[in-house]
Amino acid sequence: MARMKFLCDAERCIECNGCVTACKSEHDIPWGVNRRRVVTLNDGVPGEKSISVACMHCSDAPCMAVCPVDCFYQTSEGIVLHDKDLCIGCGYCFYACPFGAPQFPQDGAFGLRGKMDKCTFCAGGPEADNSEAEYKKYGRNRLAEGKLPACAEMCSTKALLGGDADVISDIYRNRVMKRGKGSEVWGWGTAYGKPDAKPATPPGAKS
Amino acid sequence: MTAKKLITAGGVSIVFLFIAGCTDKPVLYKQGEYQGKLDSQPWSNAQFKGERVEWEKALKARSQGQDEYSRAATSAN
Repeated sequence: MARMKFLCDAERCIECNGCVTACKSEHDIPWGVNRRRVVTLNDGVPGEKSISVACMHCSDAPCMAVCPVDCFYQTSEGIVLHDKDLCIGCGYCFYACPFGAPQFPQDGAFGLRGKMDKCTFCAGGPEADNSEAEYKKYGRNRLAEGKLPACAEMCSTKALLGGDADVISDIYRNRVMKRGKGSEVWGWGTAYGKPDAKPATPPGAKS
Repeated sequence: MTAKKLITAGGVSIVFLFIAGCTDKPVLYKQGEYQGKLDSQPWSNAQFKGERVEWEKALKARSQGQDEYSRAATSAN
């Protein structure tokens, strides 16, 4: 099996917010925290496009790089998770993330920033699988039940695909071939790297 | 004189002992390495009994369920 990825097909997303609702409901997410949200580009302009955005579980995750307490880890399936017991709620990951994925619940009477919360690809966290502690801290662990993330499985138009990168890429390729347009996948280059990307200035050259 | 020296030495050593008690404990933190709890594999549970292949099969079946073209072809047959 390759690594787990999300893929949002902007040609299909109808901005129904079913993914957002599914995520909120599945993990009992508190008020003010949105692990997933739908963003509309060129809203109101003919040809507007909507995309469902959450943590993309980047190959080279910037949140992992900037965390001062190193509370992030990547599973063997490429899912980026974190230990809430270590998180100090500093917010560095929020500034580093190109997708705005890290969320911070208000904690205490003075609106202090609580521990970071983000999409877990429905894979829970570093607690015993499907335990009470895991559900309270990270939400439900659907992956340990052999299921895919709730947002992708609930998507009515199947715009949001989640799962093994090889499988979802094949599904998307097949779609593009059939409809003959919309081959651009939003966020994939940022999250998983561009295979043909060359540096702007060759190493050693004057900039 | 010897007794005075002994008392002074004893006093100094007690002071050092107290100061040593005030210092920080050695930090085991290693920069750049995950320091949290270890997570278990998603197939290491009662449902999959540690069978990674079974877990991958279940996930692949779910992933294919996202493809309505293949679903339509299956239902047509």
